[in-house]
Amino acid sequence: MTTPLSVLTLVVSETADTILFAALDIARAVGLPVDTWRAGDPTRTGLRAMSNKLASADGVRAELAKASFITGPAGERAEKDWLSLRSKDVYGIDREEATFATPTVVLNNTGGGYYEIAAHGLTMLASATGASFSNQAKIVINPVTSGIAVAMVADKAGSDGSVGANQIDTFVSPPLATFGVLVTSSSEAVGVDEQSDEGLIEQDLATLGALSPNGPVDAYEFVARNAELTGIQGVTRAASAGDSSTGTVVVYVATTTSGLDGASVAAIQAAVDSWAQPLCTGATVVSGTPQSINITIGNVPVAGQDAAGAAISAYMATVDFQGVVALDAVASAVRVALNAAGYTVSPSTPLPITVPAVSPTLAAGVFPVKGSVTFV
Amino acid sequence: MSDNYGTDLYCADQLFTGRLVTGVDLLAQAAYRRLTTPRGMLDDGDEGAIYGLDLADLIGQPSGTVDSLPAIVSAELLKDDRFAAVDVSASSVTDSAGLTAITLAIGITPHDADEPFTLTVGVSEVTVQLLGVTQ
Repeated sequence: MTTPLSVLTLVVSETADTILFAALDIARAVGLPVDTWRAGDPTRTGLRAMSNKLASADGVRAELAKASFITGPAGERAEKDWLSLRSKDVYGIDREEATFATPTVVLNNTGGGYYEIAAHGLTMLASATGASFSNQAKIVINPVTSGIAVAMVADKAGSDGSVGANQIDTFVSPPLATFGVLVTSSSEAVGVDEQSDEGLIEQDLATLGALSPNGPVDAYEFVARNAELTGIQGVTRAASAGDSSTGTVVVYVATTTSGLDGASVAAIQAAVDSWAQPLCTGATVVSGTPQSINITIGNVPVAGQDAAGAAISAYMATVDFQGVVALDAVASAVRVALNAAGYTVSPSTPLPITVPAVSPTLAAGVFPVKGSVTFV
Repeated sequence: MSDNYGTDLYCADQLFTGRLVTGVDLLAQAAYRRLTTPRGMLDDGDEGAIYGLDLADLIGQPSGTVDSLPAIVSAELLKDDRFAAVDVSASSVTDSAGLTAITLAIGITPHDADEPFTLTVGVSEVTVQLLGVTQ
């Protein structure tokens, strides 16, 4: 049987303990009283410091070697900043940064107070999610005035700062509610997470298709996802479908959890026309359609239900247009998440999914998002 | 002198790479280093994580420091499995400027019980000094 070849079989990274034990073995072999040394004793401490440094250098060496590869399983290829570096250097792709959600809050001042608050001087909270927000620019709140719209920005980048309609409900600082200032509404806003390693690798590989714009599906998908070319951030889903009988190509696009509005689709269409226009046949960009998948799952501990819900959302993000929502994979993702969160579920305990009854197969241009999750 | 405790480099306040230490002096230096190394500074796995006590840092803490020091010092030193028993007494002097100096007399009985010794350590808000080792 042949051992699978990987970068880690060629570039072995030793741990600090392994190096220390090897050094102690050598010291013992030459007659030094190794077994009497305790933590903090000089020679052992010196060897430990050397081992830690060598292990650190070993780790960097392994990361450097892994940085030469972008395919293969996580742990055996470039990751995080190493991947960003390689993506920029080899493929000319910058990792998309996380964006901040920018909701608008509408206030009514029922009191007689007059407030001038500098940018980021007002902090508000969406108590349902825990996300906090501050005002983008200086605001003025006049006495006995309604309909004061305040542009806010999430304190945290990415999806942690996403908020639904009317979820921003609490003044943190200053405590304006005690002076008669009320929140009447707030808008929905989405923060997009930093592009994942997997998404960046997909984008990197698609650049190879872009080298020949006469039809490869990668060319359409590369352009559709490339915010630098389209001006549209957060497009994580793109799939091309060709009809050989009519010669038409449809490029479906969406974010991880939602379709795109008309302006975004038009911008992507323009980019595709400019950067991936084939010689004979044009491509049409349309927004993908989310399909909510309701899940009913059993044997999930109450304390682990948030982790289970997050795992289901994460799984849905991995299923592409026209894919299959595999119920076994959903249950497996939930089990892994529960174990990682410390709610150990015995391998012999099933996590039965009764709704849907079978693994849904999605239609063309349709992608899955988590619907309601029922725990039984 | 027993050599049950092996040989190591001489290291109290600084390391002398060409000088070796054995017996009671080796144990006294190990105890002294434990009392002068701030917790978390020794990067040596699980043992390193619980190693050390910064005596100087304890001076100037809220009242009761002198009273609580013997128990703290004993607990730290007894982590070393070469020590069978530790007996600590502390005395303090406060000068006219309000600065407190503490002297610790630390009686240590190693597992090799025929060689008990006393370590005397002076502690101020800025320094810890090894004042002497007596058998």
